[in-house]
Amino acid sequence: MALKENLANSKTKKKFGLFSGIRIRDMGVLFALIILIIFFAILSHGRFFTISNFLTVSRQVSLTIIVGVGMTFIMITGNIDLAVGSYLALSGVLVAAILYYGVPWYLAVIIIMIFMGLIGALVGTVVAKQKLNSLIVTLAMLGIASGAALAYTGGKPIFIKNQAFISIGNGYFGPIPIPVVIAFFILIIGQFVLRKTKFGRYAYAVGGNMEAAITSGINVDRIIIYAFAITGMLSGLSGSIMAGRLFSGNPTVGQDFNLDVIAAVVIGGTSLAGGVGNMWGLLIGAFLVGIIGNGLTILGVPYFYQIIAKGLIIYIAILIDRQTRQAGLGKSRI
Amino acid sequence: MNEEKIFIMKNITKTFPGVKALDNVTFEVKKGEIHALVGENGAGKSTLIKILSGLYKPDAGQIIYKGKEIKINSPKQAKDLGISTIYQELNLCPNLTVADNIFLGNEKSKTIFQYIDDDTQINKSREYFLNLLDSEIDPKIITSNLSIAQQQIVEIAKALSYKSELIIMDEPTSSLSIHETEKLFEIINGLKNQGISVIYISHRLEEIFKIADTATILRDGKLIGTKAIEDLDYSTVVKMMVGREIENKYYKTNIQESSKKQEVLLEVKNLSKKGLFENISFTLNAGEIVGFSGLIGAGRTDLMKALSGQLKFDKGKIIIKGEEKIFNSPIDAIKSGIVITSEDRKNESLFMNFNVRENITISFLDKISKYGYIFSSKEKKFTNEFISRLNIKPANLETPVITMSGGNQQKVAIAKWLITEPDILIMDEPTRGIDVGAKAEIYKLIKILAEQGKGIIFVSSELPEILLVSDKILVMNKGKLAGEFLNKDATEEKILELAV
Repeated sequence: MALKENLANSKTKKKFGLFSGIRIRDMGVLFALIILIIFFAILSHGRFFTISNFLTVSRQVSLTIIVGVGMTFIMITGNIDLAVGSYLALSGVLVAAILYYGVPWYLAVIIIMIFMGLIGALVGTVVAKQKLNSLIVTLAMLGIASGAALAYTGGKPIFIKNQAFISIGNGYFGPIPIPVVIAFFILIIGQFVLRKTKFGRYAYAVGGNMEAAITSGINVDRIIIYAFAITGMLSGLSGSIMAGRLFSGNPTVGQDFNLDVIAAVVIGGTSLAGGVGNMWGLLIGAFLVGIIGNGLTILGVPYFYQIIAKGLIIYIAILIDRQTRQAGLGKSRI
Repeated sequence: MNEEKIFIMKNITKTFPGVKALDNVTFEVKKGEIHALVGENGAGKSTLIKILSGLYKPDAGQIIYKGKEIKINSPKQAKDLGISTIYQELNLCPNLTVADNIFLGNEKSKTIFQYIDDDTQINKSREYFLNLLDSEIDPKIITSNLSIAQQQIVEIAKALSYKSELIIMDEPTSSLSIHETEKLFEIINGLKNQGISVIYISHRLEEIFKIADTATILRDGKLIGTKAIEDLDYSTVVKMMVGREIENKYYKTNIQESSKKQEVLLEVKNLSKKGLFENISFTLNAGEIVGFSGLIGAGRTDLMKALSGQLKFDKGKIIIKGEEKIFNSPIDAIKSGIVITSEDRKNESLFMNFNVRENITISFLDKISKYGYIFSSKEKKFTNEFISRLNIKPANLETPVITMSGGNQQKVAIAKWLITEPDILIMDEPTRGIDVGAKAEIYKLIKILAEQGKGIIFVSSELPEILLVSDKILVMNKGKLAGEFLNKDATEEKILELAV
């Protein structure tokens, strides 16, 4: 008893605040991020380490972060969503179609978010009620959604003329790109929901111990459905921003977006087994993935090789995930 | 008896960050003896065993095995030396056959292509089982079809296949029925007669007096003493383990008083679930403790699951405070004021990724939140109240439960329900795997809750505690109620007679 209690006392810290949840392991990832920045700064002869490039990277990672917030909820419940890349394409195409009929930009975004939220809820319902593995269900959804986007457009982009809508993707709020501002707010709200609300607590409970969650009287199905619905909604938002950025709804976008989002979430310390994770880790993970892409581009490494690099990074992240768990941090959330 | 020592662990010290798990402990076992290792959770028993089985390395001290000083660097090496450990959670592959399991990592193979010689393995397995007085287990069967007791015998056969001379058993009876336990004891005695030494770890002290030749008692990582079992008695061992005396008298005295209140909280009428339990009827009054006794597999746990909304029943009625209830999920049961602490604490009650606070309040969040927002000040206040009410240690609401002892984990699991102010509390094996001191605290808590007017259903496979705690004892046998006793009429013999 003495051993366990001493260990416990030495580990316990006050962790009520919204900013709680930054773990030693995240510090390790943060350290890796800093090393990487220094590495690119030196190799790129000053082209990398500039404010304008920082804003470019921020804009690139903002979509990863927006959808990553939803993915973090899903992964904390012990599930995964492989379809987010296809959601990006589908929602971009649909929003372009709606705008074509003259719907105001804000209404178009809201409609798409609700629609994609319903698709997410449908996937969540299938996973929760039919007790199917989310990996397979979302793989099926990936096919359906990307196929639908291609079929609807015949593979060609739908152009967007609505200037207000386009500025969501391309505009600035002061010096800061609008998507970055949106991502920032979504991240803060996400962390707030995770740490301060019943839904957040229940998500950790479902992923930590499904059996116990059921016997504790938690409506497990509802939590899983919500997590997928939130991800669907945020994918709708991201897809709209992306469409604005590209001046078109393009059915072929987002093909390696799954990779970026899952890499960011896992690197950020959210456990694939569920029950563990937070949004600050996602922030660091998203920047790590974004900076690797951006840095390699500046160094002239072809895009296709960058995808390989990202794949390797996911592998390393999963390895770190396991090592830290074995090192005795257990499934302790923080 | 042969006085030759199979091993001596001399002045073993092992330190983990912040604590000395073992402090200069000397532990020796004779050839062909059954040696009990006794101590509360955290006393250092498992650390000592893990050193012996090659999982940990000691910081200081020496191990002399069969007269030679050795270092045990890996579990594999321990096995090769003839030391086998059978852990509480058995290490068999449920998808393989019994024979495959026995020879796993040690396969009998033919020719240079190394394909497995099934016939030899099966015949050898039969031999081992015969040796272990059990001819019922078919080596060809898939392991998951065996009962826990049979799987344990397979583990012992596996140890024999390694030609083990020392078998360590960690809480082997924790999920065995009385009958199965007796059989295991016969097997252990058989091993002893073949000259194999057994280290026996159990929280059930009665067992140690039944089976062991010698007992070594540890407390807080220190050796308290090694004595022949004849020179020990129950209260001495308890005193050595906890360093103080535990009184169990308190409980028996209040029995007459507590049946004063006659409000019927729960009435169960002819409850049936095909293949699990049949025609169960009983009542539970406010302030009453109803004990459920019976063998493992008698249907008690399934009945409790039905009462708490985890399992749908086919026929019968559950009436709470005069009103018939239908439970579609645990949520409905909780709303009706009936909750359960599961026998499987780690898998069905607690969240190991949560701290004490989050575990205690998980079913109470509706009361301390508004529009989904959790008020952390309220959460802290309630948690602190229950930490002190149940004497949870460490008394810190941010302690991860994964680092706590079994007894304190159980208290957290109970607190989680008490906070919801249930009328009826079902406790399925609440003292499984926890030490004597914590057990006494749980008994006391149950009594206090009953005095406050709660109805308690207490399920236990340990007869002494059923007799100690319950006002009324129901015995289940093969899914049916076999009998009912008032506490004053019940004895261990009478209960056993109906249970077996």
